[in-house]
Amino acid sequence: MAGADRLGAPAGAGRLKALLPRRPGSILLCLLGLLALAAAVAPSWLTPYHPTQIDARSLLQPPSWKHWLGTDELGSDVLARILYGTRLEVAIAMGSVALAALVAVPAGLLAGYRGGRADYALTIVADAILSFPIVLFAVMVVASLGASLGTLIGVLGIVFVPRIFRLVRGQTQVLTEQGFVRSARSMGAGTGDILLRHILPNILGPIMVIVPQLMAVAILIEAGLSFIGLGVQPPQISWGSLMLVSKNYYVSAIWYPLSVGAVTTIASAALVFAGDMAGNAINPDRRTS
Amino acid sequence: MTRLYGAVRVLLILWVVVTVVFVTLRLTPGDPAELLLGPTAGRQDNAERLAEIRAAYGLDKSIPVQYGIFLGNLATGDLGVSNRSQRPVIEMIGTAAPVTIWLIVLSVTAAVPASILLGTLAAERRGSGRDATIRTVATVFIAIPSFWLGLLLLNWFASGLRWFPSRGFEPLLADPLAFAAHMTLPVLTLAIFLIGSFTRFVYTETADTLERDYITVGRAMGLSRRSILFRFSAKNSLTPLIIVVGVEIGTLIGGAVIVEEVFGLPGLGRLLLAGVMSRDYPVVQGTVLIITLAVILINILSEWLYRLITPQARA
Repeated sequence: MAGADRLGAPAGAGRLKALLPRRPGSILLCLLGLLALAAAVAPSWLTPYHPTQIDARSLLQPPSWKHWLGTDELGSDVLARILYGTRLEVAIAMGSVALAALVAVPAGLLAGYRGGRADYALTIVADAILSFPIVLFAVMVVASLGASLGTLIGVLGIVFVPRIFRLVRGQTQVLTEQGFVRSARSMGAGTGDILLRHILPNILGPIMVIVPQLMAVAILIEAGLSFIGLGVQPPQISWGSLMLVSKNYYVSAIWYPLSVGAVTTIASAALVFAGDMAGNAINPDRRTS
Repeated sequence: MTRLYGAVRVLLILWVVVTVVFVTLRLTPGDPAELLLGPTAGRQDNAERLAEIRAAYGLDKSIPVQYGIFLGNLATGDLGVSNRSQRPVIEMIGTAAPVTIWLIVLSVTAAVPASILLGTLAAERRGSGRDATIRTVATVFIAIPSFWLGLLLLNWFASGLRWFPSRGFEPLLADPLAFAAHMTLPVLTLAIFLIGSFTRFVYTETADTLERDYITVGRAMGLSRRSILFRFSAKNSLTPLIIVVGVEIGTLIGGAVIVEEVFGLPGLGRLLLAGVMSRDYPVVQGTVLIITLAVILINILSEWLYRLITPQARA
């Protein structure tokens, strides 16, 4: 019966099943991702505390059953503050990468496929952005436009554009020379058709490798900018702003800076691992994990 | 012909960068003349003084004219004078740059051998517990926010154990011991990130190399494990590592900005941040220009070095 079941299953379900994580590492990563999304969408489901709830009787309490990660300088639950801060991190990470992809993928396809002057001009702009250290660029723009969620997403989006652009351009150049693209062209397929139906599907894999890695960079840059006073302003909570406040308590309440830093580290490490796994999935003969 | 092409390209990139910096700074709210005068700037009797300052720094001219003067000065190598300290910008950069260069050079020097050792040891036994441990540690190293790590080290080793001074800088020639003491923690902070990044790279390279025929032949000839790993394989990953250092130089300078801020090192990062905060246009423009130029030149240099030592890449 089991065999019949499998035979009877529609092909679509089999494909979906292939996407299910099997190895312990990928299961853990999926769970972390789901946790982050849940915290971003509905943090109140995950913690009974409110992040700005002040309690003068329990300032800077060490971790306990009541407050898993202790309390901060105003008596608020640290875990609740971290969970509520997740929304901003998810917004920054996903927003900036989505923005960059929206610009860089079409530009990279065009530059890689057409070449010529457009390619030259786009590559110079990309190289100019790349030769600008991300932190310097972010400091200048955020200082001039003011620190807000929109500015952060915009700045990171801009610095991520050349990183995705170069990848897409290079892959497109290689694919354009390959047999299946040439034959599609010789059969009269238009540029749009070739780019969207033949080239784009083949570069989605490499894009999925770079996307989580850029998200990790976004989280780390947000933290760095908050540290030099250019992060989001209160009452908005981000992990970077929590790290900035907690820096005064390394001696008196070490668990506070430790837990905020550990969460940030785990999140960005998980994203880097996710990128590695995507890389292994599209490149099975060069497995690195 | 290609060389000329390359030079035009570098100039175009620099032009894009300085223009972006110029425009961004002019968009920044806050009048540099008012910031310079301080809280009394708004008073009626100071209007004349404000006008004087604006005239002295060319801030009274229209923005396109300011842009033209700025480009003209750049072409003659003149980076201008700081609005705040009245010192020539090039001189301020000259004082700050050695700190940043030391920080980066020492971190890279510490990270390269450590990464080659770790990456090679992990790749030698792929899939083992040692491999998994080294690669997990390397990934965590690149994921740690550097200022947070810096503060942690500062509080443990400087404020707590008092092994190192907590902030500041001492020139090497003035007092070598104090120089070492001041640089240890900043270099460690930056090196930890680099070790993570380089180890991951060496691992991938070595994993490839160890499957090559000449390694198998070497093994069959009875070469020792050490000479296979470090005389033949590690040497192979050292070359592409030069490219990685070149490519990562931008990230490194970004990291150095943050690390300088944590440890109070008077390098380019602090110069730039202070300039941004006080709207000191010439300082910000000059520092960004020099840093960008350095990034581009180091990229070119690393590519050139790579070609020099790998004949196959010369084509």
